[in-house]
Amino acid sequence: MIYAKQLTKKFGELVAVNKLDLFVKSGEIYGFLGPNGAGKTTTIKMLTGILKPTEGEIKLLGMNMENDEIAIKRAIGVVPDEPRMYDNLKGIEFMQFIMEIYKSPREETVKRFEDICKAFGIDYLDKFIGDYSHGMKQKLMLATVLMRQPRVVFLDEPTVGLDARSAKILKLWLRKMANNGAAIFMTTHVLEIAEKMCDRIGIINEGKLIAEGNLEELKELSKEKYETLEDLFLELTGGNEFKDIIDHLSE
Amino acid sequence: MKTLLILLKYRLKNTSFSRKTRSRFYIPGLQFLILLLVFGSLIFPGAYRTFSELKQYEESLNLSIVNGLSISESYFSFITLVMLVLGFLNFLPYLVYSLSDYEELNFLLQLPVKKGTIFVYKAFDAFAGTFMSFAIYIPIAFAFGLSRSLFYAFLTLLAAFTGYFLMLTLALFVSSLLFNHISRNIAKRLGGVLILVNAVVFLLLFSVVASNGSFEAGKILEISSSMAKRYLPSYWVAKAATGGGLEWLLLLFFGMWFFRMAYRFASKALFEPVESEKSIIAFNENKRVNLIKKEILLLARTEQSFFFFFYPLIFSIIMIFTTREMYSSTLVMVMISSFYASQMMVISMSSEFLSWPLPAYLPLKLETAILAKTILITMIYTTLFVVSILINVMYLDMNPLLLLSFPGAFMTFFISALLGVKFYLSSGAYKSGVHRRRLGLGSTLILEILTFVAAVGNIMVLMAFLYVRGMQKVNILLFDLLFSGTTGILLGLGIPIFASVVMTVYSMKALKKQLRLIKEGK
Repeated sequence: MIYAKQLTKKFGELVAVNKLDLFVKSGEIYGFLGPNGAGKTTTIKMLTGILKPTEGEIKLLGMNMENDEIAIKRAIGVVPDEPRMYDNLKGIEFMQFIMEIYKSPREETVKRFEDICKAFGIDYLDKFIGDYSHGMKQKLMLATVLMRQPRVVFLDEPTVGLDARSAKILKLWLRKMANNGAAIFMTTHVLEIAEKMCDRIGIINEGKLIAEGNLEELKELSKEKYETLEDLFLELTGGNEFKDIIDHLSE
Repeated sequence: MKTLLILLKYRLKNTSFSRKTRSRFYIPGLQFLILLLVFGSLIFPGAYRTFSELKQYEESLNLSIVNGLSISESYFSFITLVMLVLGFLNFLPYLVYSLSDYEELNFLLQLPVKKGTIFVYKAFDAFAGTFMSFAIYIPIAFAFGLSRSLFYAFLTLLAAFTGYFLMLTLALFVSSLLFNHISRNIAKRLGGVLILVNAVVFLLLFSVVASNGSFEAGKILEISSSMAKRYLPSYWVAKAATGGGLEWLLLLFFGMWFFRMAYRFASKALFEPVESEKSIIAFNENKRVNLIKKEILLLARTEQSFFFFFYPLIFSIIMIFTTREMYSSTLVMVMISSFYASQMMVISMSSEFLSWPLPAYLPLKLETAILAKTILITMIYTTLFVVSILINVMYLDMNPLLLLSFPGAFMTFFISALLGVKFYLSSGAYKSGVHRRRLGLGSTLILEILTFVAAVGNIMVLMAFLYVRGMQKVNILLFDLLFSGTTGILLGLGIPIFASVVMTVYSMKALKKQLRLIKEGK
């Protein structure tokens, strides 16, 4: 479903993403982890057609990003790290705009949207988006993506700003979508979420994919056995340089 | 008080002006002082002479007093009324915008600062943006007082300050009522309407006072006397300036009362979180929000839209009725409209980039979204242009053939709008994270020149050509020479076509280049 080969992005001299190979199959939740500035968001931007890669090939749902950008965009769903929308539209108007622009089948989309709104507690659709809090915007953004039931979903830090109930519902919803055959690609800094939700995890550091596999495979890859993904992540991304400080703070 | 001063100190520091000069020359409030001195040196001498002459005139002829005011006093009262009305119409929209700034309000509420202090701070903030009318009024008031004696000069200044304070508190009161009864978004839009009203009042006052391009002293004095009403605050200011005790009480009482009421309402409306009403989602089956409808909704809800769209038309209508001359009124309208079309695109683009990267995720090309905006704004300005020509045709009995100039107007506004996008994208404002809603001074000036060229190259030549061909009474010899005969047809149609093609190709190429750079992440 998601295929990227030798994906590279350079900003002048800086290599933000370096020869990245990715493959996410149908029914899989893929967690993409890495420290700040590792290249996660740049990768998502390339995979979703916002940024043009300097080198490499991207295929989504069998379509090539170079030739079928619009068709790909219509088929996928993206929840960016910042839920920015049109402040001067009301929630309901934004939903209708998304439905029209994606040409989603009206009746079933509306039905699904109502269900999602009920689940997430979205009861502020008649208000202007500019008046929403971060969490309210994030829920609306999620609802307008999930209502279309895209076959590939990209989520950049989806749980940021969500209350515990909404975060739980999101996890369940994503799992349900994956069970129905969707491919889910998500980044997160909450390693516990990645540990519990993701079928496979890729760790990126300084633009390079340094490890990939399910939790067990990743633990095998590391020098020592670690109890949690957090310890493993720190080991792989060089965070163990700060282990003394972390241990001290943990006491 | 100390907290308020701290807030104001950092507010004054937080300007681009101070950023450039802070390192060596920064003095808080320096720009206001400079503005006051500039206006003072320009206005004071003339105002002082006028009031002195009026006073001598009164004394020598022993002129009667109207409603308790002498001629010079009623003239000062009239000027006060004009300045207070303009100040009010200027201050109120600024205040509404300032109080609608959620982000700053939320930040300020986190600080250990009293709500009342925040409210007063926001009022100061808004006043700083409308300082000009105050800077014009103060030298006039000082001149009026000094024409009597130094004591009266200070008394008049004090009365003027108190009168201005009353006007400001009235605006505070109105804005707090607005926020109490209507939503923040509607209040903001109303602010946009008020800016237009302000401009219209200014234009109307100017056309009344200076009809046929010259100021008539007799007419002004006649209006002044008729406006000297005992119930007007401007009357109280004039009386207080000359020692009226009751008027001082009235000014202070109403000033304090409005402030108290405004504070009470504003504390309730602005600083308490609004409980979201539980509502059931009601879908209107026929309601669709497609790309164009989204653009219309966003444009209609942008605070500046009302002003930017209707000001050129209103300006042109006032010119039609005062000068009774078509070509100049249309010229001015097209110039303003083409520049405003580019500015509206800047505003519209910034709202698009405020939601970035959402527009890039949508299944349509960014060019399509931009073109939809461009066409919409162009159509609105073209329609307003046609309305203006129709008024000319009906009121000034012009040849309806002039309506054929609308393709030229369309191209002018289309090119101007595209240039607006190009300049917005090349300024990099969308990358700043601040998403500025206006361009820098340099870019604005270049844009103004380019839109001027677009207006002259397209519509003005075409209109001059149609003017001549429509066998109107032309009075402009150059037009007759240029646009008569076969060469005239070539020039009259050739120049607009050539200008349209060249400028459209240039704008489109520049736009595509910018979009490519965005895609490459540069």
